[in-house]
Amino acid sequence: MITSTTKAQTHSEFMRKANLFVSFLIDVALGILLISWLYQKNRIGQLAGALVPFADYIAKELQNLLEWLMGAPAGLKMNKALDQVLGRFFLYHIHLWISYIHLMSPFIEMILWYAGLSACLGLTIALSIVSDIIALLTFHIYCFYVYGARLYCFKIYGLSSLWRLFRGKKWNVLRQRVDSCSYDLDQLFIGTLLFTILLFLLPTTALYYLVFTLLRLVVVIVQGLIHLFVDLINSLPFYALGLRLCRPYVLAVGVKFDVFQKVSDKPLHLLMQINPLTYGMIIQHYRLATYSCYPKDSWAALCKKLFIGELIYPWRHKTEKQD
Amino acid sequence: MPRWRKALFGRQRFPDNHVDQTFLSDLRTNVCLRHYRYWPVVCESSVVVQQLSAVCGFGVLWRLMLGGALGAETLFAHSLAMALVVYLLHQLLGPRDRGPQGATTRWMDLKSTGIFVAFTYGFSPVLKTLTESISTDTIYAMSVFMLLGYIVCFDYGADTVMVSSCLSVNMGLFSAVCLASRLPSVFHAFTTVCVALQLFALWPVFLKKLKACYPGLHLVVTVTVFVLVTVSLLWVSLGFALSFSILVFTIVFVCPHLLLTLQRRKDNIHGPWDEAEIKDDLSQFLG
Repeated sequence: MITSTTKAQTHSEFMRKANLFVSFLIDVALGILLISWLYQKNRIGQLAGALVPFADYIAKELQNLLEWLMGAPAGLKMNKALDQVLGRFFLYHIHLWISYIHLMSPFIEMILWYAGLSACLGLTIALSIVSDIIALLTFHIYCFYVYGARLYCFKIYGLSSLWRLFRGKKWNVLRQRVDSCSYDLDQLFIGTLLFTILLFLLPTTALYYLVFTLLRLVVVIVQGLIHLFVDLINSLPFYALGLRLCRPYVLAVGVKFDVFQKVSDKPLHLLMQINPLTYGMIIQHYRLATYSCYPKDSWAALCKKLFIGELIYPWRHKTEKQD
Repeated sequence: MPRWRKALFGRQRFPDNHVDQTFLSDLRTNVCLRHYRYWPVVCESSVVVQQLSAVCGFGVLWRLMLGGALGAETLFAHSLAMALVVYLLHQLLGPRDRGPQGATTRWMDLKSTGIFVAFTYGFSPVLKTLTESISTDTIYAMSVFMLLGYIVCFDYGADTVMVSSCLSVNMGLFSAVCLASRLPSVFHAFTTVCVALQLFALWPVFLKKLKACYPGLHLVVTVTVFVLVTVSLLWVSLGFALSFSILVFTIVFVCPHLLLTLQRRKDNIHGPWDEAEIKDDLSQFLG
């Protein structure tokens, strides 16, 4: 749109063009600032040197957390056998992850050096890459979360259906309601056995799920903040804001008349003053449409999803909405 | 003066809220009254005694296993032998009643037995460690409530909302699984669940059939079981045996007496103000 050769026909089209152009310029300027800061005094090397110990530190903390969970966390009484199995599984996963990080460590500085170059395309791109790097570095947390959520979801689903069997009911798919049903004795027996087992194992699974969901939410919040910042740079109408700051009369919402001079026998003199747009209205009016991230679910829907153990993805793009 | 007629859409010279003299002539009392006699009611109460005895017997067996007085292997062998004998008797009692899915054969019974034993045996290590970390008091409280629920929800033949044979069997098995984890070994847990299955699920089936075929024999079996359970309770504690006997005595002799005495005071009125009842038999309206 910026590169199109045709002249802007209307005011809004012109403003849109100008806003895009200015925000692009600001973006690139900030990016170049970042580059000039990054590539001095071997900062990249320092960063890369700090990254691996930091990942190690996080893995260490996770290990401590898991060992705490494998004991008697907060005095909760968990099923010891399942607790040990889950704990060892996750510990092994962390071990794998640490080996992977150490395998990667010689290349990290190079990767960061090339990734840092992308900042000359704009600060937003650099930030997006940072967000992706965070996602990659916390991949083990995501894995834990997915394992925990799947296990928990399976338990909740099984328990809800076995609870119906326990009461001698079943879910009627055709009528979308719970009907009573006469089960055979062996069905009842196996159902009750499984129900009891799932019921008593649920707290252990639920605790693991809770802890890993909280970790996952922390990562999601950090990523969400980065996305919010990128979105802010992309969508704020900088040109319009600058106009409002320097020449408020250009963007007017209306005019205001004051009596300038009132002398009898002479024509009335009025002073016309321009009412400038407020900043809020400017942002509202000239905001640039972006592929912005916005929460997919309402808070209640999110809580419900968390409760039944469905996987949560924090955002989706506007283009997906048509599906 | 014209007489008042009971017609909603007819113009009459009476106010809308007119109550006529004939209003109470439709009053009827105690329409659904059933006349009970003492001894038949006492005999019928044997069904409740059977369930109480089954629950108490299960408790005693579990207690003896916990104390080590009864080996799990012994109990399992004996319960298996008993189950075989009862199954043969059940077969001798006559042709099986046809279930909703058609006639079940001995092969199906064998398959069910295989499923029971295999699943219980396979799951018994899990059952053993399942509730280890939960405090014993919680387990006891949960088991007691579940066994009470088993007795309350059991299908004694009454047609009320509370009755659900599925729920009652499930509650009995649930309490057995809870109790199984307190026992010393995996085989103990397996035996507990097996005995619970026999006492709570299979034994009532046999008793129902016995009662339908030979009511007299059913009474004899009830008395025998009651005496056996009381004697074995004496083994555990005198207090339990006494309270169990008093409870059974109350249910068998006092409660029917109360029913008969209180029924004389029954005063149930019916009349045109009752809400309409839909009769199942609509043929007289349709025909």
